[in-house]
Amino acid sequence: MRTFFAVLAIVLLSIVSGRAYPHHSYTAFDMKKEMQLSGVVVEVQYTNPHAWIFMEIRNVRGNKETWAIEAGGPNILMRQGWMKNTVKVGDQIKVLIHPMRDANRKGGSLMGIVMTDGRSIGEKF
Amino acid sequence: MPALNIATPNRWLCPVRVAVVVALSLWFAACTSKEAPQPAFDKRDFTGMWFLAGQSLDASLASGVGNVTGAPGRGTSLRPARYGNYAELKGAYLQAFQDFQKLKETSGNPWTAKCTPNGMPMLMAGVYGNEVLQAPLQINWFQEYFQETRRIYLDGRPHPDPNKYPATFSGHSTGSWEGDTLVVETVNIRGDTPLDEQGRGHSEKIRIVERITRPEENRLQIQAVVEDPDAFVQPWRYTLNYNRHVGQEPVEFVCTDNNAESVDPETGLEATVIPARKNLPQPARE
Repeated sequence: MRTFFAVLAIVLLSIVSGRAYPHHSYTAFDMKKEMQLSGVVVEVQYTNPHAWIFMEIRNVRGNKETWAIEAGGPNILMRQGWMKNTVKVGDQIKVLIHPMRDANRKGGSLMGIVMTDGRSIGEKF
Repeated sequence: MPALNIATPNRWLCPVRVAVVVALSLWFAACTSKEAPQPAFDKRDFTGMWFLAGQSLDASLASGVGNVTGAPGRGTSLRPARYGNYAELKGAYLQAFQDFQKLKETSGNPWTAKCTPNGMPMLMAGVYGNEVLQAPLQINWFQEYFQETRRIYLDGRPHPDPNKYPATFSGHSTGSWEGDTLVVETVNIRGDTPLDEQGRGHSEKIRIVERITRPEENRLQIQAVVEDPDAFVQPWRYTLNYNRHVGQEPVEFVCTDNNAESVDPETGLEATVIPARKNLPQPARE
């Protein structure tokens, strides 16, 4: 029954209320939790609507893990000096993220980044 | 017979003196041209790249620093409001908005992922760049977010018959000049475009009148009055300000390109998937 009402509400909203504005809400991420990662970039997807960085880290047991970090899109990044070639495969980086709520998924929403050359963008950490 | 002295008047024409006079003239001209006032900007020309004042990109471009996501920064729970106030809804539209608020609270989704255009009036409150191109009889207003282009016709044409032409996201806009103010009327907007970032809705009877001015060279202002007899208690008035950032170009935004966000239609919960790797190395041989 709850499902029925949820669907009904969404249908009604689409007819009467319109849709919410931003592209997405970040509810898949724990926006109250912060985590630092340090590792090597293995892939950069400099795309819309969001850029993604895949980085390889060593966990506490010394095993390799690949994390996927969501950043803003090029519309946001380019205007802060983060161009297509600013972060490259092989770069050693440090990131500050809000991790995904599902701890089984190695992903996060980027808050700040420190590049190989020490430059940083976003939140300081 | 006295000798005719012709040297006296011609002394002024000797090459050295001519050179000095020319040099002084050039120096004076250079000095005065520097001090001369620059030609005033055209208050009736809106062409340029404009960014909604006070939003993250406007601030980033002004300061050179910013945040690396579209999410609110550390210590902030909300994005800055785009309008100074919100429409006062009534009837079914108020109920729908309140229900939407409850749904957002129970689902934990402050917003809902989407890739469809905002349409009017939210396309004017987009936080990415606005590229305005103005011709004598038409203005094209392009917002990077969802790549929406709105056309404002200045040739005196009437609005189309809404019984014949379907309502659209951006509606139909016509404008005329009152001094340096462009007065734009927009009608025939779809009933499902959001009014604001919180998701208020409206009917297809919505009518927007914007008074657009360029009070300063790098500032554009829109004062709008929005009417909707079915959805509003009273006309909704808002002001939007934009700052011009010279040298900026539009950046492509194709929302569906590598979109990782969606909403579960049954639960209303947003899901973020990690995009597939595109350069995964071949499995290592051991």
